[in-house]
Amino acid sequence: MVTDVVALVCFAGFVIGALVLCGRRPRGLATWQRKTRVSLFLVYTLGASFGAGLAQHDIWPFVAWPLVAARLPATVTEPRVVAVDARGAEYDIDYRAWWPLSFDELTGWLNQDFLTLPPETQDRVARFLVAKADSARRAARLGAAIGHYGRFLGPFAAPLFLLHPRIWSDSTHVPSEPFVGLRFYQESWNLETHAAGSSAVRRRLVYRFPAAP
Amino acid sequence: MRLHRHIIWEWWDRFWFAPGSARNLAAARIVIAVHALWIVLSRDYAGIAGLPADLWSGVTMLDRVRYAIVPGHPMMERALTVVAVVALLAVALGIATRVSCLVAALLLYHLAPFETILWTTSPYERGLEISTLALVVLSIAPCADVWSVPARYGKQRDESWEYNWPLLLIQLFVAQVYLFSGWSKLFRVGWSWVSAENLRHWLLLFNQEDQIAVFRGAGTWLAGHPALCLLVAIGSLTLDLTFIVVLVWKRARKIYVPLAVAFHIGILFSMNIAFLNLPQLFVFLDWDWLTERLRGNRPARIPETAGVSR
Repeated sequence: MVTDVVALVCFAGFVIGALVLCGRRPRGLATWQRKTRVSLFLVYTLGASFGAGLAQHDIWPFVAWPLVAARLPATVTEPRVVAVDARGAEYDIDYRAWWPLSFDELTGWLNQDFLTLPPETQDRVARFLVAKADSARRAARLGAAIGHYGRFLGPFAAPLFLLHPRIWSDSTHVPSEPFVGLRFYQESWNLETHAAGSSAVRRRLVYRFPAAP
Repeated sequence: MRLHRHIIWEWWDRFWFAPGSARNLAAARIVIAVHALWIVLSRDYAGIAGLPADLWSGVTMLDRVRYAIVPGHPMMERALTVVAVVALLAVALGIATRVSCLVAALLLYHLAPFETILWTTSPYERGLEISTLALVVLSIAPCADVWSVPARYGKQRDESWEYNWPLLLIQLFVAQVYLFSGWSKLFRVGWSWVSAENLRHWLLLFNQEDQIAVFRGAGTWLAGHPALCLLVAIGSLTLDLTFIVVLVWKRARKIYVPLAVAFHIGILFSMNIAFLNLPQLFVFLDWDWLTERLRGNRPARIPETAGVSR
């Protein structure tokens, strides 16, 4: 909450500073007066941007940029959402199916907020996601576009920050059976043993839709 | 004390208010606008506004106020996206930049958070943070004196301090990405971040996670060479922490900017991470020098600044 307020105030101050700088006929001022005004704006901007960066507190659009800034343990846990057909078979879902959500935003939300929702709300969301995944599956089966990542720029569209494989690019690899359910797992594995050839992954079922009979 | 103040002001004046090139500032305007258009046209902020209310349940009222977001109105967001695109086109063409830059900045500030707002209010790494700040700066700068529709038939502009400080500030926003990225590693982890094991684990994660791994060869190979991993870890932290020298030592740009490009391409293929701000490194190019070269003239600029912007 404090971060929200500070961030809003910082950005508002930045914009107001700019408006003040270009207002009141700046061309009519002496050079030293204009430089002084610009300097005040610069000091403010440096304060906000270095404040966010050095204190490592994002006050977007003043950003702390903590890129890969962690020490990664050997055992990692990552989320996985799979679709389920009427026979109970599980399928990975192409990341483009979640458009306009991206895979990373969806899994971030599932990890953080979804599990705090009441069960009936969770099921409503799951129903929506199943419908979305199945609609993308049908499109992929027909060889049509999944999501609209390239709707304006085609292959030149900006990628997502994290890349994801287009597993349904080949329509023969797309599940033929309609999706009727969804499961959300947390998968853990050891990076070192995996690198040595083991494929052992510990799966923990976090949520399933529809619920187990 | 008075002497110190004088020295600081002199340095400040020399750094920010040295004569700068109208072309380099105009090029920064075009780079920022085209890059922002690239991101905006590749996303669907309005579509996120139209997602079911259940998905918005974690977004607090304060979060919504902060970005002036009212979920459930995709048509309105679609209209705002169209206005943002028009404003960014106007910025790229140098039309009414006072207004177009500010409108574009405010709309990017409003639209960009849609991408992540469901779970975080900080849409960093999504490509629009530097554009939002830079467009505010451009709105108060004479950034359309050349290379713009209104200035098409205008005369060549002399260098002026008014072209220099806005460009330097935008360059600083880009350089801060590296500085803070390096600082964050020391702040959050400490010097132990620089270890072969840590980098190896990051490489293995991004190459073993089948939901991410598009490219596997380079990362897996690198992870198999601990000495190289250590070297890359040292090299990346050094690049991060020292990139900012390009602001004061212009000649260093000839080394640092290509190095940064190679660094991001390496990360793309070894870690499957696309650094969306990469094209913004073009703000460091000396467009005066480049223009003269393309015209077949020998650049008149002194060798010390050749190939870099002022």
